[in-house]
Amino acid sequence: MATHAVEVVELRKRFGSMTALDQIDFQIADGEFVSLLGASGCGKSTLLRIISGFERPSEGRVLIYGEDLTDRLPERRPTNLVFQRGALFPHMTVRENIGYGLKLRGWERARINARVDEMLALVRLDALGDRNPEQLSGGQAQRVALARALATEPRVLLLDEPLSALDLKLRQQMQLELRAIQKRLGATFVFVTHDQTEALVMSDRIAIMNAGRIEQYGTPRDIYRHPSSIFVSDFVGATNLFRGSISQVSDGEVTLQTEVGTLSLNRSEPGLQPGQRVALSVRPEAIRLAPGASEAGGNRITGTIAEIVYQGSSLRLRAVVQGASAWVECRDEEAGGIGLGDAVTLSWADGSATLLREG
Amino acid sequence: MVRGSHLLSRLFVALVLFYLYAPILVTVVFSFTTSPRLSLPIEGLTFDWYGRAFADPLIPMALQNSAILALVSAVGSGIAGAAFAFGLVMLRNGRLRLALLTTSMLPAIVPLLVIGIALAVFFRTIGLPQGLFGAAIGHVLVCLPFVILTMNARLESFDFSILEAARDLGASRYQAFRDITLPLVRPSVVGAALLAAALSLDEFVVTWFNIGTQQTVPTLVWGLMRRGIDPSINAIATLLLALLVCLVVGSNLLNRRKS
Repeated sequence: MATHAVEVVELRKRFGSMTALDQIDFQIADGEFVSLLGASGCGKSTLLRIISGFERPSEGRVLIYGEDLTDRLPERRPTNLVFQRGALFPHMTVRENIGYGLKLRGWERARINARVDEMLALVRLDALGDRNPEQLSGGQAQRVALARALATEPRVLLLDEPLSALDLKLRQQMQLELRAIQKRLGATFVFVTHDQTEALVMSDRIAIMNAGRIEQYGTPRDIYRHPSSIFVSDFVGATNLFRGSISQVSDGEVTLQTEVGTLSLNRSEPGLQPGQRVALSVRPEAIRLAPGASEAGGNRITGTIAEIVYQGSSLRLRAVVQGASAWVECRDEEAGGIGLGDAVTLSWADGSATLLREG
Repeated sequence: MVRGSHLLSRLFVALVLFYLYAPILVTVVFSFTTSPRLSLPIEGLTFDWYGRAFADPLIPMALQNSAILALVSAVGSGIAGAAFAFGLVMLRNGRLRLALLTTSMLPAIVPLLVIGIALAVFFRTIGLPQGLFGAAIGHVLVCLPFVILTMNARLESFDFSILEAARDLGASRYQAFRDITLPLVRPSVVGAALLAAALSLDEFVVTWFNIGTQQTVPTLVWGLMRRGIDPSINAIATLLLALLVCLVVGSNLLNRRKS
């Protein structure tokens, strides 16, 4: 078995009577970019701080490249952390900031200078080496923080929402840049964020966290297409959740009674029983829109358009189906001629719907 | 703003400033006059009173004692106050932090008379003779709340994540303190220490009750005044004033130079 870059085993963290992390068990492969994604307070930052050594777990172990480092001080771990707001040393220049870790390791000045130059080039700040941190913009400061953390060649780089203070344009640019740097170095990155788009754009794998647990751990496509729980389908991207219960299971076909009517789909997974509370998750962009009401049932529902939101490249429409709402997202021309109050038929491919159990 | 009151309000400001500064101005001016009697208009200017002040052997002695006490106050309350303020801001429990801060501020509003007497009684009880040592303890006590307050204000805006960043990059606790904390807070600590020195230099009440037969500049001047006002007192007061202004301005400059 190959050694994992990071392995977290049965981790638990309590603050007083509050459980911040519970039963955390996961592995990160060498060279992987993994995001810990969740709302604030879900425990993602605590998990990162435990990996970096600034918090100690109440139970469980943290292994880095096979070595148990649970009790190791942060300064003796092969991990470096990029802080949310950079945390640059205000009394040092950019070069001194980047070289600080190397100076602590006793490198000679010439070697430090060469390495700092290399790092400045990596984050494309060659001209700003002699500036003071207060003379940098938010994006530049985060680049310096990244360079400083990478200078000592940590085996695992941990990033705690480093882009959250930047404006959207810069954030999108930095996301791609970070990803490119990670690819070029082949380093292992663990990235904490509350922004699902950010996680989808950058990650090899995403761990969705909720209330101190990992709800799902998988590739972005996996998580988006096959969410394992109602929480995940709702948290990552927009989705329609048609709630109801199973009324019939037969021959690989499941029939549901939902708030938008009777639906059926081809499923033969074990454990599905009549009476079970379920929700069917269908992404708005997976729904096809057709004018006029036709016969409902199967993977087809009918309703009337109650809201149309123009988004530039796309259009979002809300249809009222038996009192419940269903959102559709399509290109402008696909909804040609459909207006408020029109009767429509919504349908989707069987494979694009996900059947989720309640509770 | 009502335009009509403009002149009146200017006059009022001038009056208040005059009230605040007239006594100080008089002292400074009279320290340079040739006439031994305090009367206006002044007849001529001289440095004689300064010379005469230092001719009295008591005065250099008092100056030396004052300097010792100021130094002890600066170093003692500077280090203790800074360390205490550091401990305060590190506390996670906000309520406890506030309670401790308030408690440490209380001695600043306890009447100095009470502190002076309490210390004198206490020193007598434990058998410590009156003198410079007891006075020094009193001075540090009087200065400490102000040092804590100044340091706390500075440290509340201190970004502690940079210390974690240093640790993360491989610095030990000591190295992080040496390379990051110390250079960043040094101006504030020195500023607070200068403030303590300034407070100590003109401290009278606590000194009076505890210093015994020794003299500091304030207690000596007080003694001289009982014998009648001699312009050399003005000279001493003016020197003290100049020294205090330097200390306070220095303290403010150092505390402002943080961002």
